[in-house]
Amino acid sequence: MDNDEWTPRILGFLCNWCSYAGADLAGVSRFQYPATVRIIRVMCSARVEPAFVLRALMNKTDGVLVLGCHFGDCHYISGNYRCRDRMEITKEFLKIIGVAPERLYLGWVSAAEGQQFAQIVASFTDQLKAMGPLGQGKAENGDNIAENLAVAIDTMSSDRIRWLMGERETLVEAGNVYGEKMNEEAYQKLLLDSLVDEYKCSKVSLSIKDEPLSVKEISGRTNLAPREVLPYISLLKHSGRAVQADTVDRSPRYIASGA
Amino acid sequence: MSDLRIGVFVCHCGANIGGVVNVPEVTEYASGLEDVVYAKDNLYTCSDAGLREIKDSIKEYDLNRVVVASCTPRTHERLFRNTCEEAGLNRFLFEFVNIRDQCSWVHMQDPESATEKAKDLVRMGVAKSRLLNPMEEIEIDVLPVAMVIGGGIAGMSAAKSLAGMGISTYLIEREPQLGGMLNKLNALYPSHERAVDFIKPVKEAVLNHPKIEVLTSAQIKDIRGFIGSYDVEVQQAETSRSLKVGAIIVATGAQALTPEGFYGYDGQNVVTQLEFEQILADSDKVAELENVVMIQCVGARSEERVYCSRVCCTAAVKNGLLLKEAKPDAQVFILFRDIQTYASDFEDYYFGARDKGVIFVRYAKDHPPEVTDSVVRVYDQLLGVQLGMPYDLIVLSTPLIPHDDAKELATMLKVPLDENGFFLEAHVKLRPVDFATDGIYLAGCARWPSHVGEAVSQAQAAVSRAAIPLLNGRVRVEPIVSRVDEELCIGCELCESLCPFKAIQVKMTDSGRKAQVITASCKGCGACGAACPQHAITMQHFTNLQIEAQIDAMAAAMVSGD
Repeated sequence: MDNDEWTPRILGFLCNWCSYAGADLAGVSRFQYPATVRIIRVMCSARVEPAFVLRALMNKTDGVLVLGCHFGDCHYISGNYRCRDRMEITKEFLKIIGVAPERLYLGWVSAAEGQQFAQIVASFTDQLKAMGPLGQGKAENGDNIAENLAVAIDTMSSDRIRWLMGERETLVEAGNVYGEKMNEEAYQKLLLDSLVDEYKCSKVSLSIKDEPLSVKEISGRTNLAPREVLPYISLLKHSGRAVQADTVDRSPRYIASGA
Repeated sequence: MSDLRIGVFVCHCGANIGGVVNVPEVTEYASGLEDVVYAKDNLYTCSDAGLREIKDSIKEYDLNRVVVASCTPRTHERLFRNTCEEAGLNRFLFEFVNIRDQCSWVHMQDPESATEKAKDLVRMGVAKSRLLNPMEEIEIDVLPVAMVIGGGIAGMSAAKSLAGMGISTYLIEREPQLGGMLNKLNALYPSHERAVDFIKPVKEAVLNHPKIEVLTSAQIKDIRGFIGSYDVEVQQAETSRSLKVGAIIVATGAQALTPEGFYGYDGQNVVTQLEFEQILADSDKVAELENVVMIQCVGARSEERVYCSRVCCTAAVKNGLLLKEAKPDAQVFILFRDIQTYASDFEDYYFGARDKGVIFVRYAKDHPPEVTDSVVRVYDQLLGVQLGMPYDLIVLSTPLIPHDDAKELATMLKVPLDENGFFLEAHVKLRPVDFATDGIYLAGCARWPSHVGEAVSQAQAAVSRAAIPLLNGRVRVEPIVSRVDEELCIGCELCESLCPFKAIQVKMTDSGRKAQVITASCKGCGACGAACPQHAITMQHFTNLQIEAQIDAMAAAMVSGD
């Protein structure tokens, strides 16, 4: 594809109080920028869930823009910090699933920064143009991206990951009831390891969504070794998310609950 | 079969949208979207005729969702919601699509892409509208107590007017005495009334008013809360006070730029216009003046500070006139780039100064005057000659600039500053003394350099806006709050720890520990909903289903009705 002709499609999540107002100001000031972005207004950048970003990418959006108030300016005091924490880990996760993390742009635009907003859209557009459509960027594997994103949405929606992301402040900054704190590095490692773990679990879970499969078959579909698959099956069974459907050739086959 | 009946109204906004976006094409497109039973373009949807059309269509086509594609919800959402309500449709079954500020105005060179984008945005808006739920507004109490920050002429006028309406008012001033910038002025234009005579009765009225409590040498340390109930911490010397107020007026004023490094500024032979005020108040010093040269736009209308400070030209004319009156044989030059004595009576004032012998010399921005030990040299743009004028005093007109700590206060109030660092109102024309945040209002030089008359009128305007909730005692707010599904909630308390407003608390119920939302405290950020591990929290009006529908609609090709 000729990248000069091709224009990326960007979805933007803008907070009501700062960045959406900044985008309005760009209009009032007639600052011109490429017609690549479609905006969804949210009250606060903290409303933006990682799964929204992944869903946008799954819908063949080439880039996602998440903009909030500058630190200290958040209408809801600390929402932009929450947003930053979630989006930074989302970028790390994108790497794991084979999507260039540069496809997620996180930034801060005040109500007075119309020019800034126009510049962000223009430079993000240029950056995406250089990268090409989703799946064609360096280190991106276009073949499996849609599938990987579907699994990733499931992962990001899991209670374990959401709980870990939400508890960052308690774990790292406030400490538990005994005053024990985790250092940032250890927390990030725990979160990332958990993401990888849950991602595999989601892969297993989604592979048996529609039809019963044996461990060997699951292994073939997910590229996970059979001995890796088994613990996830066990976990899914225990948490009521999968059941044994039948036995074929002395191999039990499993299917997701409610399938 | 769906019982949704969506009406879409696409606005031309005169030529603002229609001049770029092909509005009939977008309207035609909208009419083909699923569940859209009526689509219409309007020259101005917000006009009486446009609003009537919405109301009539709701009745005629039995619409149960209305989507308007026009300007920005930040200015017009309330209007269109009211219109829906007047026609019997719940006000939250309305969805706004911004195809002006974020489309036609920013893609003026690319009408085709702008039209395609407008279609996408309409499709996304329609997708969200399908999933909207009827809601009722929430009423919250408003503490009938006001706080005015800043005891200059704007702040004092505001406090006086509020108190005159019977509203208890705190007036917070960080200096030891009230008066602000007027304490530093000699006389006011165009009356030449002495500033001290003007301000004295105002100060007395404020200090003696039983409904006003004045806190001088007071520093605001913290502001929390929202319209109706703010908690403010004020530090006075060693003591700290906690005040509870229902609304806040910001009247913190501005400061004059100190022209360090400009034209040999030393505060002695080269002074600012503000310092010159004090010289003019001293008749001995005035008697010594023979040749005064004023230079306008010092540090203003430059790359670093692009704006015009508005008041300095008339102030220079005033001080030129006062000097001429006190000492008619003194020579007064005013070197200007453009004279901005706006308003009709000020134009006469300017001509009056010329008649009295004040000499105005126009210089160009790229040929600024040069100051030597004995003369000021300047190229007169109009005469086309180089002039040299001897001086015993040079007066520099410097712009008013925001206070150094304006940012700090803005952060505490959660209100924005503009690109120059002044406080930014909600809308320059539609809501000139409001902030976008309800309950906080603005007057005087904190917004933009203004003279006394303007500061007083802005103060009174801000009071009239603040008085609406303060005197009603209640205010209706959007029910954009979170809702907990108790069946899904496991009482993990994550939401409680994340909520910046303590608006969600886990309590014991018959079915175990469950999170409960205090709707009057919930401000609708959605941080809890985005985090809940059990997906038990729904952020109303910005639900997952609604946002996901918008995301999906962005990618979806046209869904044809046929």
